[in-house]
Amino acid sequence: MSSTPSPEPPQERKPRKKITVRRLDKIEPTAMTPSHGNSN
Amino acid sequence: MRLPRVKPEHAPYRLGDGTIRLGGALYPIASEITDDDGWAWTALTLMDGTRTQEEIAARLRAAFPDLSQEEAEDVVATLVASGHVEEAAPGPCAELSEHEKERYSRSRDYFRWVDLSPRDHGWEPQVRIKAARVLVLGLGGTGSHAAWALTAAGVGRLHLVDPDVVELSNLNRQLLYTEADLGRPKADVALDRLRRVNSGVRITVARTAVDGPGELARLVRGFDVLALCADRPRELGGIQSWANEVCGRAGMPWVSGGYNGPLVSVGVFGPGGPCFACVRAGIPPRPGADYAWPGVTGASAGLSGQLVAHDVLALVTGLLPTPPGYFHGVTLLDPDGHVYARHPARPDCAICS
Ligand SMILES: [Zn+2]
Repeated sequence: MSSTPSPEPPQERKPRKKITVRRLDKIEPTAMTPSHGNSN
Repeated sequence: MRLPRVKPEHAPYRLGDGTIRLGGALYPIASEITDDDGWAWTALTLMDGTRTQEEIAARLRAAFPDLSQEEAEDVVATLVASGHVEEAAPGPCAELSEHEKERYSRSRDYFRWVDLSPRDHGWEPQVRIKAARVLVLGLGGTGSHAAWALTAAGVGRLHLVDPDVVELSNLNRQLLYTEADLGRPKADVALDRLRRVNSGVRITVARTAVDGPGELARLVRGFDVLALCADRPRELGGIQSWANEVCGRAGMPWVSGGYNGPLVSVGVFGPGGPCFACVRAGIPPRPGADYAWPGVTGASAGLSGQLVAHDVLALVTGLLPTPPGYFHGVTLLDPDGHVYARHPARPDCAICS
């Protein structure tokens, strides 16, 4: 009789710690700061 | 990246809720990171150009013993790949002289700001501009501004084609000409003027009109991009259709600019996007919109020429924001309005298929 491998004992696995960089959504032109910044 | 440093234009700041904002507020550059535990802020603070990625990860682990080695390295790698970080120990850039590096330093800062690909020394876009060969057809309102901007930007090779002479009524908008130039061929005046703007650009000119697609095909040979700033012949099947056919067949990107009074529009076409004729076919006909009245001031002409130059540079640097195959522009009578049209390739189009 063929033996099926017994399932691994459940491991205590913490979720992997990571960071996510999210690009900002488009801002409507009317909502943009009317700053002209450097102009020379 | 050997010594990562946060780009100055992208300096991080913390919002009230602990979120980090990077890259200012400009779409599509700016981004946010949720940073409840402070890992990202600490890593960004350590990215001042004095530490390797390994050293930053080690310091991060020292500050947050909960982080595994792999997790700390991953936080650093994510930030390095984000586009907000540059190399503080740049490799050599032999393609540009020290004089060129000073001349184009503001361009380099600009590209560092808007280019989110991690780079070795940051001069990569300028090196591509220097290697570019651009054909400019037309040296009128649009073309004079485009030719100036491409020369100032340091395009390596420019060929300028225009059959006309300078007339008094050109001087309200055509950047390259002065009262002393009246009656002289625009191509010759442009050559004199632009060589003085930037002696590092190889510029040649021709005083010819393009009379058909065969002549255009001969002209574009050996160039990387066509800047179409001529409007004659104007009718359907005219110079834009010739450019579409010739550039489409050659797989060559091209930019076409123009204005109709206060309306400025520029088309960007090339491999990977629908052709001019397909995009045009998707724009519903508007009665009265096609006739080109001569009225114009320097603003419309300058904007169209500068946008042409901008799109040519975006094509050669690989920084076009979206695949080619669209018109964009502005209408000066409506500050909140902008021109944008993109339509899919028609299934039966011989150029697109
Ligand atoms: Zn097509």
